[in-house]
Amino acid sequence: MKGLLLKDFCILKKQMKIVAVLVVFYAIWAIVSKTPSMMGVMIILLSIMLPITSMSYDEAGQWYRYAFSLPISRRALVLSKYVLGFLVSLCGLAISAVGNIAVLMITGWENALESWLIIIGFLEIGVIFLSVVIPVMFRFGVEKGRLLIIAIALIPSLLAVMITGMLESSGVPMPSGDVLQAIFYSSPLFTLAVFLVSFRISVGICRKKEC
Amino acid sequence: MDTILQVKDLCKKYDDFALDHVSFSLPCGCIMGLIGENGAGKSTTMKAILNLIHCDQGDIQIFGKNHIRDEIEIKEQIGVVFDTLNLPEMMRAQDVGKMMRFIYRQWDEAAYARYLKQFELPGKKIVKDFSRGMKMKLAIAVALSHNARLLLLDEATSGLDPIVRDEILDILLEFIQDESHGVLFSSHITGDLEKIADYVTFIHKGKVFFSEPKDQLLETYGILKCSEAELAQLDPTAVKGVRRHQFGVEALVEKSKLSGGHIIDKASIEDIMLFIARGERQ
Repeated sequence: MKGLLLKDFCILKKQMKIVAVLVVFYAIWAIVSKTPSMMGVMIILLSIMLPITSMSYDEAGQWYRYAFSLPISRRALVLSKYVLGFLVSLCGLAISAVGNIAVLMITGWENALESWLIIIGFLEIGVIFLSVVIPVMFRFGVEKGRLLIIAIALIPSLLAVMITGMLESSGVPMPSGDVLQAIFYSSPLFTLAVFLVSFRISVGICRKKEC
Repeated sequence: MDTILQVKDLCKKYDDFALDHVSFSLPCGCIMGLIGENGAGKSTTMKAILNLIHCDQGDIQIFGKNHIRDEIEIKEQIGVVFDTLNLPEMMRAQDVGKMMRFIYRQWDEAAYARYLKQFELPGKKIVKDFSRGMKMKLAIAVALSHNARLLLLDEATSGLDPIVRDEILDILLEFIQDESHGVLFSSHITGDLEKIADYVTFIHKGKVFFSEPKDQLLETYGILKCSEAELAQLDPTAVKGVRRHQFGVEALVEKSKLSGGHIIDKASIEDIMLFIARGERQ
C-alpha cells in the first residue's frame, strides 16, 4: 500500500506543482473578491482531480497488468486509490481552512459560518463525486469513463434544478431551518457511507478485472 | 528433478480464440521457451499463470502451490517482465527502488543498485527518457532484485537490438545457475531460445503442439529435400510439414520414422515452427 501511494505521489508531483500555483491564484482572487469560500471550493475540486489523474496515468501505462503481477492484493490496490483520494481531499480541506481563516482575518468574520459550511459542503460533494468516479473508472476505463463522469456530474445537477423548480411552482414550501440543519449534520455520515460502499463496489470490479 | 511450474489442462474461451487444454511443466534449474505465432496464446498463457485472467478450467501450480490460493506468497518469488515497461514513466529508477522496497518483502536494495550500475541505468533520470533497451533492462533489474525464483518474460526481447538481447540472455543464464530457479520465456525470436532454452513449448492456435527438451526436439526432427515422388513414398506419419517450391519439396520429418539412406539436414526451432504452422495452413 505504501509503495503504491509513493508511486502515485511520484506521478502526481508535476500536477501538484500546478495545483500549488492555482492555490496561490485562488487565494489572491479570494482576497480581492472578498469571497473566501470560493478558494476552498476550488482547492477541494482540484484535489479531487488528482486521484482521477493518477488513474488515467495508470491505465495509459498498462500499470494494472504489472501491478496485478506484484505481491499486492487487488483489494490493497483499490484501497490505495481511496486513501489517495482521502489524503488529497484532506490536504485540500486543510489548505482551504488556512486560506479561509487568512481571508476572514482581512475581510472580517461576519460571514465566517457560511464560508465554513460552503467549504465542508463542497468537500462532501467532492468525496461523493470521487466515490462515483473511482468505480466507474475501474470498470469502464478512462476513455469511456470520462463520458460517463460528465453524465454523472450533469444529471444530479439538472435533476436538482428541475425538482426545485417543480416544487416551487406547485407551491410546496421550502424545507424549514430545522430540516436543513438535520440534513447538514447527517451529511458527513451519509458521505462516509457512500465512500465505503463505493470502495466495496470497486474491490468487486477489480477482482473480476482481466488485463 | 522438482517442478517449479506446472500448467495442467488450462482452458480459456474468448469469442474468437480459445486456450485449449494447455499443459506443460517446467523443471527447476531450466529455461523454457514458449514459442508460437502472434495470437497463438503465449501471452494468454502467461496471463493465466499470473492470474491476470480468470480461466474456465485447469490447474496451475507454482513452487508446488496453487496459483490462486497462494497468489500473494507466490508472487513474492516471481519476477515479471512484459514486452513493454509497465512501470510509471514519470518515475526515476531510484523512485522505483523506493517503491519496490514497500512492495516486496525480500526487496534487495543492494542488488538493485548493483544491477542499475551493471546495466548503466541512471538513477536520477525519469524513465520516460530511457531508450527501449534501457526500459527493458530496468524491468529486468526489478525482476531480479527481490530474490525471485521464477522469472516470467513475455516477449521481453522483441524490438531490442542483438547486443542488448544477448546481454539479457546472459543474465538469464546467470540466473539459472541456481538450481532452484526457473525461467519461462515467451518469444517469437526463436534464435534467442535456441541459444538458451532447455525446453521448448510450441503453442499453436491455443493448443500445445509439443513441449519437449530442446536437444531432443532438434534430434527428433530434420529437413528432407526431395522430389514429390520421393515424398509420396515416405511414411505419412513421419512427415510433419511440407514446403513446395519450383525444384522440389522440403519436408520436416521425424528422423526415427524414416528408413533408407535419406540425406536429412538439421532443423532449427524456427524451421520446426514454420513447417508445422504453415503446413497446417496449407
